[in-house]
Order: sequence, then C-alpha cells, then structure tokens
Amino acid sequence: MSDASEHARQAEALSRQLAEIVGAAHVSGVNADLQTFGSLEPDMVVWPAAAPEVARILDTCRAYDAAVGVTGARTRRAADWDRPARVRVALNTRRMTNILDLDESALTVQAQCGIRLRNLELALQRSELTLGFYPVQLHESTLGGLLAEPPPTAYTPMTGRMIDSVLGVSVARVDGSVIHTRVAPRRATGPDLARLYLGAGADFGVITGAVLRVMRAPELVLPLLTLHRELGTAVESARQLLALGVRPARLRVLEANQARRELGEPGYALPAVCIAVLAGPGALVDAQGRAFSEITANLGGSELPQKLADTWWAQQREPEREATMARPARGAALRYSSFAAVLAQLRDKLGDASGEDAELWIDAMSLHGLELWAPRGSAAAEAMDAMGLASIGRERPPLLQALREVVDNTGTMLERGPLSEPPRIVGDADVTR
Amino acid sequence: MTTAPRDTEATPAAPSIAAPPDRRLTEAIAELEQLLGAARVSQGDADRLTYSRDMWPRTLLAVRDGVPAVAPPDLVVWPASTSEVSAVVRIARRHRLPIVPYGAGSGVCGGAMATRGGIIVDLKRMDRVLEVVTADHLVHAECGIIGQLFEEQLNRRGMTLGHFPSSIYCSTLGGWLAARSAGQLSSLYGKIEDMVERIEVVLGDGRVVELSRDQMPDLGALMVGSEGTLGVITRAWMRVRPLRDFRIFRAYRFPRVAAGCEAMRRIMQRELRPAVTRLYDEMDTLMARPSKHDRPDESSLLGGAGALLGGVDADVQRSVVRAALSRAGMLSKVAESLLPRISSGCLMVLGFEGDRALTEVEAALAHAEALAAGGEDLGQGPGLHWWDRRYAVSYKMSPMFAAGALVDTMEIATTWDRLLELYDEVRKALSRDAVVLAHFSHAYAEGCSIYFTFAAAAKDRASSEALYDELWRRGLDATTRVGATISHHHGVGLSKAAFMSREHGEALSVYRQAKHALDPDGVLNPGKMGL
Repeated sequence: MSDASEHARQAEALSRQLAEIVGAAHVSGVNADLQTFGSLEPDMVVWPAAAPEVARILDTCRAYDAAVGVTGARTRRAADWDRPARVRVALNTRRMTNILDLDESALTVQAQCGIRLRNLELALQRSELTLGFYPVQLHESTLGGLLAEPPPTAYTPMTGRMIDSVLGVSVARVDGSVIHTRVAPRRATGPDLARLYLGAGADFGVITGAVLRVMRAPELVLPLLTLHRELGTAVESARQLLALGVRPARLRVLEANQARRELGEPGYALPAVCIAVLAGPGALVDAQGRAFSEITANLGGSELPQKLADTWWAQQREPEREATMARPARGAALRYSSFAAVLAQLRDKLGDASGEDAELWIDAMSLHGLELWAPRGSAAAEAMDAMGLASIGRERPPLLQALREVVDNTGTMLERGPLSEPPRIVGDADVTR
Repeated sequence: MTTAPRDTEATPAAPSIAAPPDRRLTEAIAELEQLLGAARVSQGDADRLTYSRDMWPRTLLAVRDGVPAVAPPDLVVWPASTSEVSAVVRIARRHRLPIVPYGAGSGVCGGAMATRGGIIVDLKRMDRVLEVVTADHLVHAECGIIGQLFEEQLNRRGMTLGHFPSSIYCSTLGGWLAARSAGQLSSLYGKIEDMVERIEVVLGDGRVVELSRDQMPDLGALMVGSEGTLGVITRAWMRVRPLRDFRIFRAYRFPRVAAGCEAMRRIMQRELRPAVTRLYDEMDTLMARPSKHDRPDESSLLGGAGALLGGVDADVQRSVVRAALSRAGMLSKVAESLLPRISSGCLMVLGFEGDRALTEVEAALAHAEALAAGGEDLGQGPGLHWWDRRYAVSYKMSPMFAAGALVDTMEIATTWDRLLELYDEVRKALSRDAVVLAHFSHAYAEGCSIYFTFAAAAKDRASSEALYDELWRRGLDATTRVGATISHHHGVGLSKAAFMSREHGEALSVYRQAKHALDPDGVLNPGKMGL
C-alpha cells in the first residue's frame, strides 16, 4: 500500500472515530471546509461542543498518531504551522460558545473558549458589567484565542493584561483528561498552573474555558486629549499619571502622523498627543482629570477640546470604524530609560519620511515600560527592524521543549510559529486564529 | 477525637543530631569545600540544629518537649553567587543529595525543613541590590536580601516595593517569591507575584535560566510559588512604585461580619484601592480591645492572653493557659453564648496611601460605602494603632507555646459568594477543640482571604501533635469542601501537602509533570508540596 493510500485510510478511520465522539455532522473532510484553515492544510476538521469531547478527540488523535491544530475565530495571521506527514486534524471551537456562569456577587464569568469577545461583552453589558476597555478590534477573536495566544493589544492599564484577569482555566489534555484549576482570588498553593497554558498556544493542551474577573461598568468614563510639543513630554505625562497610581481605561501617545490619522485635521498642528481615558467613580475621575491637567501644564502641554476627545473615544467604541483603523503593525517593547535614545535614533533613520511611513504610536503603557508601534511595512517599521528592536510577542521562554517532551511526548499538538501579529481584519483567508 | 491521617513527611522523626557516616556525603563535602571554602560549608552541630526547622508552629511542640533538632540537614552551605548555587546543585545531583533552599527561615509550613536530610542552601550571602532603574521603576536584586533591608534601600531612592509581610524583618525576597507571599498592603500593591518582572533560576540539573513575564507562556509563574521544588530563585527584577507617605486611616464598627464583608466587597468592586482592609470578627474584636495592662495588637488572641496574664508567675501562667485551652471547645461554646451580651461588634480598619488629592477622594468614597453598609465611624485611632503595631504578630507565638498552648494561623481565600460560608464552616470545624478568631484581609474585587487564629492545648507532645494535625485536617477539609483555596499567602510546604490533591484535583499532575521535566532526579526540596 502506498504512503498516500495508507494516509487516506488512517484519516478515514480517524474520521469515523471522531464522528462517534461529536456526531457525524461535526466532522468534515470536505474541501470547502478544509480550505478555510489555510496553511494548516488539515485532513479533516472537527467541531466539538464541550471540554470532555475535546479531551476525547485529543486522546483519539494521539492513539492514531495524528497531529492536532486548534483554531478559533481565525482572526490572526497564519502562524508557521509545523506540517508533519501524519494525518492532521483541525479542531475548531466555534460550537463552544456558552457562558457557563455569571456571578454578579463575586464579579466573575465562566465561558467556553469559542465565544467571541464581542458576544461575551454584550452579555456582560446586559448586567452592566465589562471585561475592561479592550480595543474593539479584538471583539471578533475568541476567548480561547485571546488567552492561548494573547495579542499585545489585550492590555489596558486599568485591567492589566487580559490573561491577568484569568482566575481559572479548564484544559483538555492530550492524555484525554480535563483539568480545572481552582478558582480563587489569589493563592499560595504552588505554581500558578494556569500560566502554563495561557500564552502557550495549544502546546500543552486546549484551553476549553476560563473563569475571568469582570468589573462593573464605571460610573463615569472621561476621555482626555492633551497636546505636547514633542513625543518625549507626551510620554512623560503618561508616565507621571501612572506614577500617581492612576489606572486609565486607555492610555496612548500618538506622534503627529498617527495623530492626524486618528483625530483628523482640527485646524492646528498636533506634534504629539497623549490620550488618557479615565474611568471609575465620578469624584475620583474628576480628581484624576485635575491631576492629569496639572501634569500636562507642568510639562508645557495643553488640553485639547473635550469634543475632540469625545469624538475620538466614540470612534474607538465603534467596531466598524475601529476595524478600518486596524492595520498589521510592528511593535517593540521599550523601557522609559531607553526610550529617548531609541526615538532619536529612529528619527535619524527616518529622515524626511512622512505620512504612513513615519506614523508611530505608543501603547500598553505601564509604570515600567511602553510599546512603540509602527505600521508593518512602513519606513518606521523597517527602521525598527534595522535597529534590532525586539518584536513584541516573539519571545518564547527557555524550557518549553523540555516541558513539551513530558506533557505531550507523542507530539500530538502541532507546534506553532512565533506570535507577533496584532489581529487583522476578520475574513482574511490567510488566517488561522 | 480521631487521630488525623498524616503525611509521613509531616511528622519527621527526631533524628540524632549526629550525622551518619555516608560516602556520598563525604565526597560531596570535599567538593563543596573546594568550591566554597571550608568556612562556607558546615556539618557542625550548632548549624545543623539552627537549620533543623523553620517557623512551622508544629515544630515548637517538639522544641517544647526538649527536641530542638527537628529535622537537621546533613550540612549547610552559604553560596555567594548564582554560579556557586549552580555548582552546589550539580554536586548535590551527582551525589543524589537533596537540596533545600533557605532564606531567613520564617516560613510557617515546614517548607524549608530538610526532612530527607541533604544540603540546606542558605542564600543570605546573596543580598545585593544590583541595579535600580529609577525611570523604569525596576530593581534588580539578589534573592537572599532581607525584606526590610531591601525596602530601606528602595526608600532611600524614593521608591517602595509595597510588600510588607509581618515577617519583613526575618524573611527574604527569595522566600517571598518561592512561597507567593502577600504583604499587609496587598489590596493596593498586589501580592509578590504581581510585582515580579523577571527571575533568574537554577534548575535541578544546575542550569541557570532567566524567565520573564513578557515571555509566552510565562514560565516564571511556574517557579514563583514552587517553594524550591522546581528551581532555586537566585535573582529577580522587581517592579517598584514611587514612595508615598501620605496615609489616611479610618475605622468602623459593624454589627456582624456579614455587614463588614459587604462593605469591603462594595469598596473593592467600585475599583477603589485601599492599602489596608481588615475586618475582625466579633471574637477577634473583643480580644483586641485594649486593656489596662497592655495595648494588644492585631494578634489579639496572643496579645490578649499575654495582657491578661501579664505579671503572673510563669508556671502559673502555663497552668492557667493549659487548663483553659484544654477545654477550648467548651470555652468556645461559652464565648459564643456570651457574645450577644458582650460583643462590641466587628472592627474594620481601612487605610489609604498615595497622592494626597487622589487619596482623600478615594478615602471619602470608601467612607461613604462603609457607612452605607451599616458601619459606625470610629475615627482614625484604631487604624493608627494597628499601623504602629503591624509587625508585632510574628513574635507572639513562641510565648504561647511556652505557656503550654498550641497556636497557629490558617489563611484561606475564596470568592465573595462563598466567603461567609467558608467563615462559618471553618470556624465550626475548628471550634470543637480550639478557641478560634478570624479577620478578613487581603481583599480583591472578586474575593477575600480569611485569617483564622486558633489555640488549644493537650496534655503532652504526642496528644498535642495529634490535636494540631486534627485541627488542620478539619480546617482544610472544610475549606476544600466549600471550594476555597487552602492557602492565600503562607504556602504549602509540609503542613498542607496532604491537601494538595484536594486543592488541585487532576491539575496536580501538571505540577508533577513540570517537576519531572525540570528536576528529573528529584533533588530539589523533595517531599514537599504533595508531589
């Protein structure tokens, strides 16, 4: 028997086994279904509905020496899948979309991995709750995708990283078991085992659900825009706000080209803009706003009209508008201590570049660092490459392979390439998650 | 009363202080002396005695019974650098000798005890602050530095770690990280795992790796809290904050625990961030009431007993305490029945610190929430008093043991929806044979920790140990039944090891897999954590 026919025979046998687990309607080897999974090029796709089904699928695939790639809403650019000659199964989570529990006393929500962030947020909004003010460009991603491969944009100063809001995860493992890490506000009972899975793709298993911290919709949301003569002081104003202990729902700094893109042409120059969206109890937000004004004034900046800030914020909350703004971008994590030197070097390299080529923005600011972004393919991004600035999300820890060899010694879970891309517009064919 | 099923590691036999001759050991000592010099390798009785236990209260029962060397190691070493730690681990591995990392020995769960012999690796010579990057609020330090000294160095540069455990004078940065410590101001600054940026770790094969929270997945989070079972944390980059010395304290009286908890929940869920949130139950509030003899602190049971017995002859003290606490169950019942008449309600202390303008607004908003939940304003006095005495608790336990009692604390946590059930169930489980007090602290938007203090007495060491184990078994059984976590910040070590499978369920196998991958020969702190 040829290798190809043996492969086909194996695939057919596995498909029958998977159909027994999820029902024949939820396994497909039809080309139209398979083609949507891009570079994974699976032999079949399977759509489980619950964690035990996922676990049985993994166990069965392991028994057949098949390889499994996990996909959610496929809003991310294709990673470089390892494509072994073995039978390949795409496990898609689109049927796992339930909210299992919403606890309005403890402010926690438990949801399955396939739910899109938009739907989760809508459900929370009905109870006047929210996960936080994450960019709406993430709303088409699944919860599982955002936790397994967190994009850098899944961060706000108010909530921290989305993965930091995870109180517990459920994971289906290659050995057919399902684990649930215990939900507690905090604990000291050994390592945080959930962290092995968050950000690990599906290296160690499939995150089938999670319990997340949510928050009440703030009483007041106040977007503020401040104008600075140069990027350095705009960044410094943001840093000083954070140093006061203020945790804005959004905090960004835009250089002139990016400011024009996001704010339009207000009729005056916008060399550098700092955006702080304050949220919380009204009296506290007001006090924080006063503090921000004082910081701005001390640094020689000025406040932009509230109407401009309100318009910007309204646009940020519109999914369609936000989607058109979203572009593939290249980012670098920097420290404040090196920011000025990096910026000077970058400007030197950019010379007279303007427009999209020179667009820069700063995001994910904390008291300890920031992220500098530029549109992918722009002169600024190329300059960042030339300067050797580390690309965000590409760094994998040591020891991964050693852990994989113990946790998944059959190599059932397909290895994924580096994570680096912010979400792209939904619907792109060349995406896998 | 039935005798508790015990983990064999939890009741170490009292070995002779004389180390048995062992060729592996002799060879290892020769190699270690060559590596570190003879002065930094000790097999001496005094050192082995000193390092034979940590602050696990159960060991005080043996000490009181004349057995001070509870679990002496074979030897103690004092490396001064990461490369030396790495070399020590390689030597230990080659000779199949256990390694037990040791900070300042303030752990209260037996996690730093060499129950299988081997080498205690004391890291206190690694006590340098290597780099302070003020602009980034990041500090790079060696992990053997004592907490208070670390904080003082930061304060001199206008910064704070914001981590203030009551053991701050006798615990190290490495110990904090290894056991996922919490400080008294955790509601504002978070727990130690929230403050760590990057760590350097020596693995079980002697390899040195750096793990950062920016890596995905964050394997540093596997090391933090592993209590030396997956690696020895040698250096850390910590996130620090600007030092703020503006503070506001306010105290309230609530009629019942439930109303106080509701106030705490409302404050935290309004996204206010008090630095201090402490709610004492009725019994704890009663015991904490200042007397004419003393001004008891937050360790109210200990301070209260000390105050009552102040000036009394030691032998009489011992008899009184033992007689009273040997009928602790009855004492609890009597106290319960008297509480409605003698209770002064539940004391809550709130504290805020930070920028003056913002702090004043936050405190005012929290004040309104406390009043809305039924709190009676007691002003700033109780809060200031607590602040002045906040570290005193760590030094009160030994006198109680010396007086014939057994005392311990149990810090457990859960989400708000289960918190009162947890409080009731654990109190019920313990109070049959112990006097029990509790306070609620370390509050978060989603839940809170409860800190139980319990005291009892039995006639001799064997029955005291049996009672001690039984109280823990009952308390943790109730905790896991409710669905809460068995430790918020003390860790697991030996004392809670038997409950790790109840805590983690099937997920414990993940920890075991990680152990197998990172410490294949099992030299790192064996016998701990229920692995």
